[in-house]
Amino acid sequence: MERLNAAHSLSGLVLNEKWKVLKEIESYPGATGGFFSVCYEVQNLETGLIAFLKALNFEAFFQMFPGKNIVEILYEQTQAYKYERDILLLCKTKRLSKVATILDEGEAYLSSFTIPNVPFLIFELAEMDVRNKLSFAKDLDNAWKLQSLHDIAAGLRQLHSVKISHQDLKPSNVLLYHDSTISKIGDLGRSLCESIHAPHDNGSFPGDFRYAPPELLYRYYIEDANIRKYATDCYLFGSLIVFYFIGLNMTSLLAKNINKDFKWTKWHGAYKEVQSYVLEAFELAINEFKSQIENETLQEELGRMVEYLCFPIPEKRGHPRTILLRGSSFNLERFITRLDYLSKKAKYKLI
Amino acid sequence: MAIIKSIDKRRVIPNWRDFKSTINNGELQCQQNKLYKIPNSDKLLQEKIDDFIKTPALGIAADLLSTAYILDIYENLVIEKAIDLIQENQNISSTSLIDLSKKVHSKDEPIKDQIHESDSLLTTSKHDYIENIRKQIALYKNRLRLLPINPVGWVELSRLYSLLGQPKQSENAIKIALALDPNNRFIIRSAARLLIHNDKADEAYYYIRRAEILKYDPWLLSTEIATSCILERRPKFIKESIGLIESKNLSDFSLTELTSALGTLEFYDGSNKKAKAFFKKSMISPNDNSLAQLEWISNEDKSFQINPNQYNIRNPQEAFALNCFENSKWKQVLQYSESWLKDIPYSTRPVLLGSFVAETFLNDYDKAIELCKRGLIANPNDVITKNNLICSYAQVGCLDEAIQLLEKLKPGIALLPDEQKIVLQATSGLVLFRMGEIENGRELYLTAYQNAKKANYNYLKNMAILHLAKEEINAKTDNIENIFNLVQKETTESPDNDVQELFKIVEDSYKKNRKSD
Repeated sequence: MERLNAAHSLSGLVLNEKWKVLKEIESYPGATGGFFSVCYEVQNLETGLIAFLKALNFEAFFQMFPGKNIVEILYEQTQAYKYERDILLLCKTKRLSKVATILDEGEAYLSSFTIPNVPFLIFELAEMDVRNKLSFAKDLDNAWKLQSLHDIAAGLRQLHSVKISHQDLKPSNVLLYHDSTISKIGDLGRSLCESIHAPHDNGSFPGDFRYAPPELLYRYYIEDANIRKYATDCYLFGSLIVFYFIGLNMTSLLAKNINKDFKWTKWHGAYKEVQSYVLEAFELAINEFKSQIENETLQEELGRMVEYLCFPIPEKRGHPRTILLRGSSFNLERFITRLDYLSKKAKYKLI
Repeated sequence: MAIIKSIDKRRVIPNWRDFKSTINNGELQCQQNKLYKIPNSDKLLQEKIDDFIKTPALGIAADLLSTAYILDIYENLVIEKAIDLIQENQNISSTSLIDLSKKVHSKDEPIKDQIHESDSLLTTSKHDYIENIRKQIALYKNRLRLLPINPVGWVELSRLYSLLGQPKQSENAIKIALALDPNNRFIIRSAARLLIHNDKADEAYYYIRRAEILKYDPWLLSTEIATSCILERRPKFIKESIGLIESKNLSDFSLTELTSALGTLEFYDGSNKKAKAFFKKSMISPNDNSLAQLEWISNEDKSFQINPNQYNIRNPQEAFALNCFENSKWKQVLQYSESWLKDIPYSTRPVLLGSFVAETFLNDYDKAIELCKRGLIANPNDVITKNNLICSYAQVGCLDEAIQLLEKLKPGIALLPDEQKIVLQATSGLVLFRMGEIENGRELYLTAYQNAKKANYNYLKNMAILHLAKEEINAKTDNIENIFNLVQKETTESPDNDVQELFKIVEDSYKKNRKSD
């Protein structure tokens, strides 16, 4: 019996005349959320470079939305693929060095299948995602963590500079390269771009609720699309800082410090009504975060950064000095400069 | 003459506790109490579970645990394995991560207190108690310096200032909280309590009325009714309040103070039937305030029956103290007054009740002094607390202290309400008696008695004459017979059980005195 899609049958093929598909792999760093894709290891026939291929997985879409109209599914899938490809090509064109962009893209044709076309994207091979690297003992690997966070902040700023908001920044989307000396942002599949229309751009949060800022978990809708998008990225980056140092993201740290009566899974009122309690929990969360960083300089600096980046009122998120200036309140420049300074100091053991 | 009452009518004014205790009391819960599930929760969790099964690294275990906690889904063996991994690797895990793993393990473990008030009020010395509050003030000031936009922090600071009897600082702090969040139930109710306590009910009403959520929030509506009554105005949202009750959308607990406030309104308007119906509703799921309210009403009108012991609620001290008082269980009254004061340290009522009972019925003057001194920390200008302290000082022979305090009160006496003047006249009589100036003491007692009689303050009149009799017997004067006859004439008809009980004590002393003669 024929299989519904060909995405699982690419092994052994040569794609775009230079990529040999070596083997299907279960998943790959940066390919989390793998309901949508099938992953392969591929090799460049000219250079011998090993890379990672992500092929669209039609079948998963049927599983993900049982009972949904087939035309709609196919439309959504092709739109999603097209968006990711276009956005990655944009990043490639703009030479965003801290974003995991594509090496190649194309479409395989396997005539023996019901749906013979398999669109694919080929990415630079990451060693792992950051979760495999981290440990959370006090002041362990501080220099490395700061450098990695600096890379990610720079990557996020690069994305923002071409009007892309990532919306799905989380530990599994931080990819490590070159003996973990370089960190890049992966998986732009849920991003939003001002110049390319995303199929998931319907005003709701396209990212992962497991990492979402509190206002979204409390179902608060921000009218201003810019605030909605860039404030979320700010929060996700601040939350990542917290994860790097204590193993909890800011959302779970907030959940830990808020009374269960006010948690998003129990609160049915408006966000405005619970905001004061969230602020109180946020303050406790920041203190808890700071208490676990032994180095006093880092404790203060990172505590302040996280406070600015993750502030529970999205309109007030961002560096206070940046907020006072003209332009976006969510500009990450000041954080990048500070992380650069701190990572260098930590590297030379000056803090 | 120590006295008990500082209010004539009890209203359902919110009790002001620290944030954590208020949460634990359930007053801040959302009206609709059901769980909200984040879309696709199970699938989102499954992804993380799969990640962990594939690569059981510490970072992935941490990610899985965070996810489980955010989504509120804990029942999974793989999560248990992730917890095990974290706990086996404590040397490279953060404290937060280890804490969270324990929390997920035991699900509903309460949040660890970051700042808490002294657990024991009267077991710590006054000095330590004040020092502890000062330390907490410093801590909150520091927290607010770092995050001045946190309104809950300002409320907590305000409360701490109020515990030290610093109304100006306390009001400043609460007004900042109100400016930061004018629609928050905790903040408005705290502000109302503080401002009413500081005799600024009109200002309290302004903040209640300003809240956009007033019409929809039963906890604010009850505060609006109570505050209006204090201001002797007709509450403006009775129709809306009844609408909320009849909508049946809210839990019985959410409505307990509202129905209690409406019941009180009807009771003082003379409509006992309606009052009873409201109180009945308020007792379906009462809190400390509604329970104490009905206990108070039941003491005013015996047709309102209540047994507070049948309710299992948090902080029932006030209701229990009032109930024990009515049943002349003096030791328990003192015990509950102490825990009531511990719960609500800014209130004068537990101080007055406890010190009155300790002095009048238990002869525990040291305890009465201790209670009054503790009460004066939060209310340094409260005349009645000072009066009770003077009485206790006089009783234990600390006449210098009693005279000193009395002298300090003298300049302001003319401005006091009549009731307080009468009380102070009687107390001055006591001090003079103890100083050996029996004639002058008697004269003052009798002046107090006459003034109370003239103004129709029966309770004060009875108390003045009973205390005079006590002093006459104690001093073995020639006037015992006359005064005792007067006592018999005046007090036998009294409806107040404390008057009756004090009469028994006086009668007993009188009989003993006659025997010894």
